[in-house]
Amino acid sequence: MRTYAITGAALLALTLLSYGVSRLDLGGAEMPVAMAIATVKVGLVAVYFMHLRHAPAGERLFALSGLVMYVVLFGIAATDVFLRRTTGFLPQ
Amino acid sequence: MAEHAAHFESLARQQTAARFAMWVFLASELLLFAGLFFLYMCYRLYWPAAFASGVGHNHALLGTVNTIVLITASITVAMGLRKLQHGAPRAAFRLVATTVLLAGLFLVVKLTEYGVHIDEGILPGGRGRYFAEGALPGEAAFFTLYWLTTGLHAIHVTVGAGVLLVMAWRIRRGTLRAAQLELGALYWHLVDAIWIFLWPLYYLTGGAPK
Amino acid sequence: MTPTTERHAGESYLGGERTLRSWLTTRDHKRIGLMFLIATSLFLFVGGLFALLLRLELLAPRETLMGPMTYNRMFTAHGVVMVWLFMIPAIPSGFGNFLLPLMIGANDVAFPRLNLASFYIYVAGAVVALFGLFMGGADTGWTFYVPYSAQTATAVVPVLIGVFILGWSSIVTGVNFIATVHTMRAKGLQWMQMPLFVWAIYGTSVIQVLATPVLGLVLLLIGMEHLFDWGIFDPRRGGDPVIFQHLFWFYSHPAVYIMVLPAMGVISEVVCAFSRKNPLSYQAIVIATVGITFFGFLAWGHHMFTAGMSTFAAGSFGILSMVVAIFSAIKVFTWTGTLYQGSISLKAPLLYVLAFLFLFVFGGMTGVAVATMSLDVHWHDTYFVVAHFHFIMVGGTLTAFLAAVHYWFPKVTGRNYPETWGVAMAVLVFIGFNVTFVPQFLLGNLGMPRRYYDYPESMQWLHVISTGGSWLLGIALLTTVLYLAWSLRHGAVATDNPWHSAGFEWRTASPPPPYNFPGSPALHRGAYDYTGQEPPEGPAALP
Ligand SMILES: [Cu+2]
Repeated sequence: MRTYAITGAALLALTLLSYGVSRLDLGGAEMPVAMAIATVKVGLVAVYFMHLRHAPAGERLFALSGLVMYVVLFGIAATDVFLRRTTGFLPQ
Repeated sequence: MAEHAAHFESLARQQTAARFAMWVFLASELLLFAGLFFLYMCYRLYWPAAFASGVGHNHALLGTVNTIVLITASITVAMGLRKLQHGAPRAAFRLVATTVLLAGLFLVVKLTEYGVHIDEGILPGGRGRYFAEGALPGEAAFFTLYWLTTGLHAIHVTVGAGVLLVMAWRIRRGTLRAAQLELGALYWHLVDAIWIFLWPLYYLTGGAPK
Repeated sequence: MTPTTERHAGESYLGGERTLRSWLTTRDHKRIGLMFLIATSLFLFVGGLFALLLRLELLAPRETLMGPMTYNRMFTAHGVVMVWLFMIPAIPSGFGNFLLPLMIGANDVAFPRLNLASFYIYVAGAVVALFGLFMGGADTGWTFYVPYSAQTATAVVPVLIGVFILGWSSIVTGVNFIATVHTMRAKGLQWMQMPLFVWAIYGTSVIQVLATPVLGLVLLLIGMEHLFDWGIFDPRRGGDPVIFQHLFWFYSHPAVYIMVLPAMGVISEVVCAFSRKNPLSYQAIVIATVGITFFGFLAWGHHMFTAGMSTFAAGSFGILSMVVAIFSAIKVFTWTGTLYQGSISLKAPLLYVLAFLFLFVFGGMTGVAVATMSLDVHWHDTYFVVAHFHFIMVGGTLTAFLAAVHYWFPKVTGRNYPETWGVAMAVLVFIGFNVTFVPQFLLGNLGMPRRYYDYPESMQWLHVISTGGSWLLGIALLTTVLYLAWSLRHGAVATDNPWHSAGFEWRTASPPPPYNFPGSPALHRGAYDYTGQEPPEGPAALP
């Protein structure tokens, strides 16, 4: 019960932090900071609320597999959308 | 309550199988949203100013309230599960019922927000007054994605809340095992986790506040 | 060989309750598998009929049988039916359902009710998709490319919804099978002792679970585009149609492995049983299966070389595609190596395997060719590509499916099929297939685009040969159905293990009793252990 309370408090604190930070003018750092905080939060949810900490290997494997597919989709496809001539992210 | 199904050796093994299958299904559910997140990444790269303007236009405070509501709902369902595991069904019922109520609150706030968007003339597909009055090119894509992503998420909230509602009722009647509640709780946490990413993408990252 | 089970007549899964109701409400994985097999085979013939009509239209240039619009609708129907109603579910949901529990010594799959639900979801999806295809009919091809799919006046939405529902069947079955493999294995059966077919089905299920939701979302998006004109892929409103292609092929390239991995699993089983040997390397096939499952996810961009994607991405996707070819080649080498010095009995299933090996190598090598960016620019969207993927899907999956049908026919039905007919039709399938599709490579190289109902006169001779081949293929498949149907009644009653196979699924009665293994299954001896296991009458060895 205490673990849940602490985790919950941390999640709410991170939520407020994320909101507060978004009101500052961070420029280019805004998105990475927001995503980093969100990742930590989802990590807390997965590890403590969803009990990934004590989960059998099979459950961890498939929790990971969903993540890996995100990396595959975003990672490889990024080589197209970032490096395409028409999008102008490359020097012409 | 029936004993374990005949084709399983034991109840414990059946419960392990069900929880494992739930995780596999959650991986699948997670990828249902992958396409929408991917579209967001690409289009934000194409139209950075339009996306920042769109995010700035959304109501950060409403979004933040909803985030707090959803996280609290996750906390209560996690605690409710622990209570049921420790043989305290009355406390478990109260906590799970709170989760369902919070889910309802989330949906009310979300629908209010949709109402505001409709009033402002922000509809999917670049339709409505807002876009006719000279929105940036790319804002249509932003708001179409906003409607699609939050809409799909709201459907998941509704399903998750419906499942937990039935489970709460069964806890009250004393016919729900903790292992069964765990499946509903896992699903709910996933719905929560998806929102944790939606929220900054659609409410917070709008550049400097005006 | 000592029989591990006593034979009890009338106690098989086919006996007992025989009412239609008992079949439609069954939880028995064998009955559900059989229902899937019957349904998917039915759609093989529907899709095959479309193919014959398409080939007939192409017998001569210009309009011969149907106008261009009908032709467009028909190739769409052919693609949708063959891909989503036959190939994706046929081996996994059909044979996978029937064999998976038998091969891991379980009574059933982990979630039998979910299994039945998956069948009904499949039926519902099929009904909706067919409704769309016959009432109006989509003309987009099975790939539903935007912007055309958003604009066409044809009934694309019911087809999209149908395929969306079919996707759920695929996901549900995938989750069920993964959970079954993880939690239902008989005591003592380690991962590296599982039959190779189980490994193949496991890899397939992983792809079904992780790739199908992405397709589901994309189908919904096109549906919205079509119905409400939301322009999510419309450049005028900030969209990008190439992103659609990324998302579509993120599913649809791995989907090729949903079709081919189970086929490879069948080949592994049949090769070992008919050369009476353990596989040349069990580990190599397992590693290649896992490798294909993972690397199959990284190759999707080779469908988009001419779509305007970045050159760097195109080159990367080309190379990643070739990595998959390496794993496939490892398998082909292992199967051929397994045949070497085996005591081979050249029955119909093995003939189909030999056909598979030839056609799959041919299809795979042309696949490497079209994965080469510079070559693909010439071949893209021509009959070369059409011929290439038919070599994989028909030459690979369909021949493996037929191998499976013949190999497990006694297991499923308790009867033997007539071997002479089996052998003759296997030969005819092989000939018919090559006559149909080899000319299409040449046509593609001459510049014949896919999905055209018209062509210059100079190409006609190749089209005529191809159409002739399609008739041979049609006759062979029809004859196969006829003699198999005949054998259901009149075939010789099969013994429990007519092939004297060491496979786990043969260690119970044929057809198996409702809960598969009376008592605990005898899996002490490995699934490919043929040491000192000569069949009584001796194998029909080649000189
Ligand atoms: Cu491909």
